[in-house]
Amino acid sequence: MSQPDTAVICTKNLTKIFKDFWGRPRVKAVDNLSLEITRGEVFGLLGPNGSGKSTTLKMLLGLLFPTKGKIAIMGKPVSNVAIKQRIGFLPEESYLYGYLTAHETLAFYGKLFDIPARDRKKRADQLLDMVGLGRVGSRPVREFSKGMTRRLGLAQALINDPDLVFLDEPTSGLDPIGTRQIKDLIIDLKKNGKTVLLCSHLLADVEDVCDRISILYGGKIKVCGKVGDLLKKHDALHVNLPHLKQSTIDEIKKIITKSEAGAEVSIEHPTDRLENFFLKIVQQAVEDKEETSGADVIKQDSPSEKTSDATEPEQAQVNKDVIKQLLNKKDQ
Amino acid sequence: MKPIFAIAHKTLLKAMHDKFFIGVVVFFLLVLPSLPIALYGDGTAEGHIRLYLSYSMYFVIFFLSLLTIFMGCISINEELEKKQMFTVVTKPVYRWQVICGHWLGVTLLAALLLTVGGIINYCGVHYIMSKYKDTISEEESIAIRENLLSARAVVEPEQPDMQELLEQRLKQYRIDHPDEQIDYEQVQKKLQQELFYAIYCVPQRHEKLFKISGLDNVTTDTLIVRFKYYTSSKPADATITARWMFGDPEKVNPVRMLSEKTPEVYHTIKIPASTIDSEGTLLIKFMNYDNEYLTVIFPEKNGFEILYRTHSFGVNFLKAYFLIFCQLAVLSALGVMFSSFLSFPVAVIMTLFVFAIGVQAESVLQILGSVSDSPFTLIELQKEQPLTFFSITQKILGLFIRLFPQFDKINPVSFIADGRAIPASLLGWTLGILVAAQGTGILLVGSIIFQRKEVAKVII
Repeated sequence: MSQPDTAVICTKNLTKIFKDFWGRPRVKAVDNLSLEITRGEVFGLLGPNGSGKSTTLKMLLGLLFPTKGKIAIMGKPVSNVAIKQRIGFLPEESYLYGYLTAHETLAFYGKLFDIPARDRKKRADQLLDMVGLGRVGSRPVREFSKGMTRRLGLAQALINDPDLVFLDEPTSGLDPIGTRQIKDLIIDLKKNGKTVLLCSHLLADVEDVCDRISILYGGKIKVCGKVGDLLKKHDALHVNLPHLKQSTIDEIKKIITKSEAGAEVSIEHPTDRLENFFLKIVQQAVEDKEETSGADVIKQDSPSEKTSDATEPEQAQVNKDVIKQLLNKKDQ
Repeated sequence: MKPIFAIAHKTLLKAMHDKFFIGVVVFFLLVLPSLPIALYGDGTAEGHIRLYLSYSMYFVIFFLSLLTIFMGCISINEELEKKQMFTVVTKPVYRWQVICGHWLGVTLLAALLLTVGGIINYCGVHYIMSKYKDTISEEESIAIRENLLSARAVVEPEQPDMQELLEQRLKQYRIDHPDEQIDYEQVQKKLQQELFYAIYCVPQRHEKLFKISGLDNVTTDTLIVRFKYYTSSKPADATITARWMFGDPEKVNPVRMLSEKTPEVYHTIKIPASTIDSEGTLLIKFMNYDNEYLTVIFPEKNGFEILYRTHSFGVNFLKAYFLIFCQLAVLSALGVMFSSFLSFPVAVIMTLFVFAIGVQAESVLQILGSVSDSPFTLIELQKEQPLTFFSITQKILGLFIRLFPQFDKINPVSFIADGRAIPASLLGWTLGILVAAQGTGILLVGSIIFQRKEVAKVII
């Protein structure tokens, strides 16, 4: 199969038909899907339930075999075990081993990648700090909340510093802070030249991080393109202005309605996003030193700076910094 | 290799966090040490130890076999059901490594429990010995050490090839009766009886010679002659008087003795090893010297044997546990193989089925007519019976069952409970055929099936 040098994922006429017990074809989950994802791209696979996005992802990972069509990951067939050395995968529900601790979990996956023991330990510590689980590394996974399990799932997906990351509903079960962190992480992965395939139906998340999206319905691609191009409204304009006097506003309205006959003009105060509002409330709680048994709010950009041995005041300061940083990012 | 060890390690960790497994192990560790107290035997020290060794080893074998089957069958299956396998097969791991990792984990777990079981079992024997220390005589104590807590090699006398003899006699019969319409069944019966009588029966005042070869590596001073015979009718005094001569008088200084032994029971006679000639052959002459007109009949199998000590009970005990370990390793492979494509209950049923056939393989083959104890099957072949659906099915089933792991061949209990040395050939067969060939074959089949399996398959 020919594909450009930069194509990390390439599918051609990919089809998957699910059969019943007697081998009779029943459901065409994916229908002649041709896709090309290039290096360093964050690609979103969208669609309602049963649209075939998870099936596509599973075929790309070799968990399902296509009924028809071809797949190439980094120019190699999916069955090639060596290419998996460069792949990270976060499944939709983490699927971790409840009896292992967070540290043991990462050690296990690190061993599967044949990472030397010393590097494995260092990398596991960094990742646990990055996802905010540094303090609970010795707790068994079965004691974790869904959000914490999700964070650990993400850590295992990144244990090998992958070039291509498959994320299936990465923000499901996460609180807004975690969601924001994951989104920032995806952006950082892109900055570092990694390719990300994101599968989600949380459209706001996809919109925030994806370069290109593809919307599936009935196993077929309905639309595919750059997010900005697809969402641009060509019949309306949005103007950002500072606070104006009412008389000035009336004047502007008059000018517009005079020059553009019949145009509908509405001028309102912008509202803050709920995500920002939530972060402010949490910041207040952190400043008040209220205790929590959940995941830490960790400075994500420099995981190595945070250690599990941080004292509580230090930890509180780190939390405050992270929230401020997140709020600043939003404001920018 | 690292992924295999990682998966094996995870399997061990899983078991150690599994409440059911812990409960079962606690039960095992409570029952096994209580067996020396719970079992009594026939009241003698030897009987008590023999019974304890038999029961405790059977308990270890069957308990750990069932536990291994359970752990093997749940291993891959559970990860498939809980979808944890998604995160494993998407890593740079070959499917065969997943299979081998689970097998190794389950086998190590079984080995760990087997080691604990073996230590408890061994300590149990010494506990019973110490319990009788003050109540048994020095002779009884020596007898226990020689007959039971020992590893004795077994040599049987050379037996004539019955098949060949029968064939020769049949040929001769044809030559002698050229014009006669031969009723093969009748002739077979007649010749069989004649041969049996000539070889195994000793009428009054007659004698039978036993020639035992291969005794050139005997290092002990004494040999044990173990025998059992039957009589044509019940003797009035319940015993048979016999004269024995051990050793070829032309080569060694023979030992002669008179015995009065009851029929249908095993007896032993201790003789000096100096009766073996320089070629490692021992000649034994048995004469029916009874006053009654009775014929002494030696059975075709297990009727006469020479035993001599080769190594210690401890070494034999280790060998026995090695045989059990090999059985568990193969069962673990079976469980893992079935769990890669069947649901847990179906995998357990299938593994139990193979296990049940394996521990009764010879009996099943006999039922199917594929193996016969009697050498007199020649006539059936000569009659050229037409192949029927039933006979074809029987033969196919026989061939199929021969592919099953034959666990009955490696049952160590009979060796340990009789103080017999487990031969090196049996260890070799177990390691070469059962583990290396069949065990690897099972894992290979499992790997091929798992390689072709869609881990995220949905059946609508």
